[in-house]
Amino acid sequence: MNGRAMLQAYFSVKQGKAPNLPKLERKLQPLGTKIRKRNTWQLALGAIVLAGLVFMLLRRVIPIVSEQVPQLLSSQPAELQLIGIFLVLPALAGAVGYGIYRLFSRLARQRAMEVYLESIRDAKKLMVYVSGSGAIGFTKAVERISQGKPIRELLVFAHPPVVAIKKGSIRLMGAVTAYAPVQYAMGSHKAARSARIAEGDQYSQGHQAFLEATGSKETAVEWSMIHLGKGHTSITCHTEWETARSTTGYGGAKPKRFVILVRDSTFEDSILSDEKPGVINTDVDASATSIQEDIAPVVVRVRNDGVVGSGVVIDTDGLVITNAHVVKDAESVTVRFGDGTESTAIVAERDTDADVALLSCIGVNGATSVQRGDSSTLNHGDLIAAFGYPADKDDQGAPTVDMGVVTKFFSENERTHIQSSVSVSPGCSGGPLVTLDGRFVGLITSTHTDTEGDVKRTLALSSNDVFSVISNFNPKDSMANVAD
Amino acid sequence: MVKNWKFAPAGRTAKRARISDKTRDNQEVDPWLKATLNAIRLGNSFLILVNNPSSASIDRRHLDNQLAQIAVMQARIANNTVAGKEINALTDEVGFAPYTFSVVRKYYSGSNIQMAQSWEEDGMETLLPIRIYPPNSEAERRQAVLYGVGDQRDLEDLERTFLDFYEPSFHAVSFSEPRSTGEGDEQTTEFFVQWELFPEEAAAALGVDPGSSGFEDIMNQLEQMSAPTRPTEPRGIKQARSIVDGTWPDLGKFKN
Repeated sequence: MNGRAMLQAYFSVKQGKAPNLPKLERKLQPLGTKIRKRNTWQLALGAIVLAGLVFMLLRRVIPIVSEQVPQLLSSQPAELQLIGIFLVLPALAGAVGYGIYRLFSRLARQRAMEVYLESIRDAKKLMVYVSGSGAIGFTKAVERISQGKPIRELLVFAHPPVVAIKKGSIRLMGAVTAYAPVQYAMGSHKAARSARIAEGDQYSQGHQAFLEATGSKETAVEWSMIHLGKGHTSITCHTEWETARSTTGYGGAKPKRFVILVRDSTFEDSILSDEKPGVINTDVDASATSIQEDIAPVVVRVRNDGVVGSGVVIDTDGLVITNAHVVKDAESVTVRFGDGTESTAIVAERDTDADVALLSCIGVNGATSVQRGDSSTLNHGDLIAAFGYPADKDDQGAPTVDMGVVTKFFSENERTHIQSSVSVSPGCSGGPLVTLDGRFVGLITSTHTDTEGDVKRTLALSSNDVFSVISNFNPKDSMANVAD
Repeated sequence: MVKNWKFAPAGRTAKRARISDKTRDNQEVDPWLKATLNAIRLGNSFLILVNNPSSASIDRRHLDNQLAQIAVMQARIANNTVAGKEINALTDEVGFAPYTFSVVRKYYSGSNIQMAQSWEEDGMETLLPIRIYPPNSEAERRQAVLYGVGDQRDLEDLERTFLDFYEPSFHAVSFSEPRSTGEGDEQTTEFFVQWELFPEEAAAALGVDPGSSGFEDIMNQLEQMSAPTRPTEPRGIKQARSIVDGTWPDLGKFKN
């Protein structure tokens, strides 16, 4: 799906509860006016030619219709004549007229979109994401300040309640460029969380569509406005979709982010007391040490001739786990640690079905090993990070890291696979999936494209299953074979 | 125990450390504080704290207007920075302290004296229920980012006056030219300031106890983001392992 198609989809309002696409996009019409004025003479010429063609067509068609239709009707019973005159002919004329209207309105919408996208193409943009009822006031304020004029440098992604659109509180205009209606997540905190994660995906797609459609490589600044107050959806939900959107870093430029926490005077702690901390897995290490610093030393690059993958140190004696598809049939591979030292590693065991291989690094003792987590405690929406080395064989840098959320769990052959929104590149196979407090919860195995949203997802085998697999290995036998 | 936080930009020495002389308690951290922490941990993020003075619609409207004006100005600056630092590069000059915004003000050419007098007497109004006054001592100096959109000479005058009176501990400026407007439109110079908050002020803005563990986590995270990257400790490789002597660790220990 290209950028423009995604934009069209993004603007499309589902379920018929909110204004439809033509109504929304008519608000963009003023942006197209200038271009149309420039093309007035072309349009006038086209209109003259079109009128001539229509006139010639009618000259030929009208005599035929005026002769044939009365003849056809006169041969019919009187009832059918009446039906034909008062129902069928008007319906046919209406259908033709409606078809022409749809055709032209579609062309007009497409043109308005093209003009708008062109107008914002070269601007370095500030993207503001604002959700909840706080979005209404902010977007109205932007409208007041811009006085209806487009501000091409400012794009506001607003998720106000549908009712605000219906009442006209939120209008689509130059400054407010994207809108995806969501329902209020009434009820439990869990419902609110899943709703915000879904919003995150919509934001992500919309943002990406804008960047692609406008050819932008740079988003200079991003604001995430979070309203914390009575009646607002909790900040927990907001930051979860924010994490899920993972749109920063497009084209290599990482925008400066402003997390703007608007605390309402009506905010009371008791409002949030209904939220069950036990349900929300947002625990973080109180020491707040960098996850990169904690994890980078336990991630290794695994090189097997032309194949490059990643691995995780699970034991101080240099035991490393990686994917079976990385080591293939090799008896030994080369392992490079975070500090640049290299070691030959014997492939002690492999389970191609589970895609897990166990390596033993020769001459390594006292290595830093990963902290083991319990993958069974993961929930949808939990924040996680993925580490791995890109497949560039000459790369000497540190492992890459990307953060995201758990989006799904799959079960296959009685093993659990974790799907997440993190983005990994080839070469990260065998790298660790960790929680924000640095605990290993999954072994990255593959990526796939989610057909629902055309979004790339990462799959990892749950850590509990990884350890279950390797605890059944018997490396002594295979090592004896190697020694022979 | 006295707790110090340093928010100097990377590679610079902090001139001031603030204290929170309270014992870290063991109370459960509110989910929204954890979520705030998660948000800033995504990286490259300033934490800006803003309070709605009351639930009255006029107060809400005031805050919305201010934030919208700031967003429009920042968008302008981001697209066309003509002087000072680009917004993306502000952290070369200032650290990741907790911040708030001042209200947006207009600057008229030659109004330096009146403006400075108003700062002396009334301070600078912010989007929190506090005003920022010129410092009386080293400990009262704050980090600040001065954003402005307008005539370049006027902005230079403004910057000079601002630095003379507020003496920020670290500062950056980020300026842009005014948007081209139609005939007859008055071109004014507008500015606002991103002000560092002291820990007690940040805690009050968040509505939490400055000694609470959640607040400390946030401040620790901001401090760490301000600090230069530390090199990773080298790993030790002590002795060769024999691959034939069968000295394998017990893999049974990996059982769930």
